[in-house]
Amino acid sequence: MSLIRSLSAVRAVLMIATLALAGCQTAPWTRVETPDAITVTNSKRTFVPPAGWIRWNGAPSGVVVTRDGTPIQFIRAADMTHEQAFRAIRKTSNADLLPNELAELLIATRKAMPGMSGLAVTSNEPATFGGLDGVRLGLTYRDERGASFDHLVYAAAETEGVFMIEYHALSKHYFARDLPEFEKVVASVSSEKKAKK
Amino acid sequence: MRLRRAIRAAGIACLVAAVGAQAATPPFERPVRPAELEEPEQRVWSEAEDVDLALSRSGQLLRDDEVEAWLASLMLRLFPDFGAALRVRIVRDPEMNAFCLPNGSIYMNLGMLARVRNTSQLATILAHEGVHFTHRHGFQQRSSLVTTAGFTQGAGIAGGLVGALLGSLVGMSSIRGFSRTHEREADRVGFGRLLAGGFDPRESVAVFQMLTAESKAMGLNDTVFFASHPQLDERIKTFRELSAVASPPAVPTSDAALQAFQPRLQREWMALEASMGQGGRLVHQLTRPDAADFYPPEAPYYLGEGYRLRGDAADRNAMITAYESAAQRAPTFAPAHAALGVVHFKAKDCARAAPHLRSYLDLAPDGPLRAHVSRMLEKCR
Repeated sequence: MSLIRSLSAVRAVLMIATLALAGCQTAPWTRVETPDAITVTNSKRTFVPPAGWIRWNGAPSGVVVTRDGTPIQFIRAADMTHEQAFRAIRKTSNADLLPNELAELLIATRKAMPGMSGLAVTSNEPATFGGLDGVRLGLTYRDERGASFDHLVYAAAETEGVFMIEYHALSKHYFARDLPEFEKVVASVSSEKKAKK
Repeated sequence: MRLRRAIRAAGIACLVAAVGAQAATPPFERPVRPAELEEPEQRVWSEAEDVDLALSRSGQLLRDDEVEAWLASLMLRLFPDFGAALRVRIVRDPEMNAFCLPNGSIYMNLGMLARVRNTSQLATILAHEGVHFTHRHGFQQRSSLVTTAGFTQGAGIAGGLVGALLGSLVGMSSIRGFSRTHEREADRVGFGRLLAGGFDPRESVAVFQMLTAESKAMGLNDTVFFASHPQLDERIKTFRELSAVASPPAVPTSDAALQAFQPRLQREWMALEASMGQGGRLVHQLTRPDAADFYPPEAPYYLGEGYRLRGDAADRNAMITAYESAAQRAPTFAPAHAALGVVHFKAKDCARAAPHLRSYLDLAPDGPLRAHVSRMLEKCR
């Protein structure tokens, strides 16, 4: 009898804990239903994700949305401090970086990523987006399995840090298909204050 | 993923094989086919072939038929009894490094080929690596926690795929994996091969002195190459002793072939080094007393890049001087003009920036910085 009572108590505790966790935690993936602007984590920048895409709430940094899954394609927006942005190559950035210098750091960072090979620059030009003067950098690379990816990144160095919005997709079929969506997302970047968190 | 699996499997195979290889394993006396070997060694050999395949697909190998053919001819001089069993390939890695897999595949880093001063220095490294194969060190090697740590450490030091890849390979093949006993054996037997091949034994000392100098300049206790090898100083002493009792070859080894293709390898190496964003090694190498004669005329541009990438404000004047020297020594080399244009543009000195920016566009109308340079010129107007 006492054992049954104990088991019931344990079950009750587990149920309460489960309910509490369900109440506290956000689902790992959320469909973007309405075209509301999202504020980038730790940033004043916002962007409008493509409707119907899925937001990955567990992204380690910045905001990540995908249509078919991150192994296939994703858009990521992130604002990093100058100390964080190029930590992988033991470099710090600053607000005075010219777009070509920023591109150089981005390329070196990508080259330092494990599992990436055959990195090639497809485009490298100054760009203005969201009111920022920055760079538009196109790259291709192969992953560990030999799959070819295209990567397009817009980045700008500001006083507080480096803001970037990037698009990765499998070169075959997906990159070209979703590129117009990405360019729309870039065009939506702004510093508006009223945005969905 | 396949690559990592192959490397991991190779490491495990080495572990398994090592248990069975405790008894002294006699060196190969002739080229062997894997089928002639016992099953554990066959497995090690097979895994090494997987690594070869993965490396060839990685895009990190530098294909240069002329250089590879010349390296093959050096191996034949060093190991005539092994024919084509030892094959040398070139890896796009700026480190001064080389390694040998248990199946006789030797990988020579671009950073080594670009920096050795003569053929005998290169032959010293090739002989050493070749002995790891002929004496079956890959099969005999015993894995330990130290080796496992070496895998991670190596991957951390070098960057990108090559870093991850070589970090592991370094652990499993020659650089870190072999014991001091094996390294000493490779040095000693390799020295014998060097002499028999008609190379200058005194250069064996020079190549290790160069590694020591770089190691010290880069603030490393020992180079990655020699982290678990006998200490560099000890090896220099050994080679000095061996050289003292060895006669130089009657006919000096020709460096003509090396000198013919080394400039293009040096250009590749300098560009690779700069593209990885680290300037320290460029500064160290390109300020050596013989650098002006040893490296191609564009080298001062990369020295300037080295200063810039090092990121020390005190280097600014040296950086500008180096860029100017490059523009003078190699006036048609567009990147030197872009660099000078950018430096002056950042200093808001358009009068000095504009001519260089225009030179860049004239010399490299389709150059990678065209759009950026054009934008700077617009802003200067």
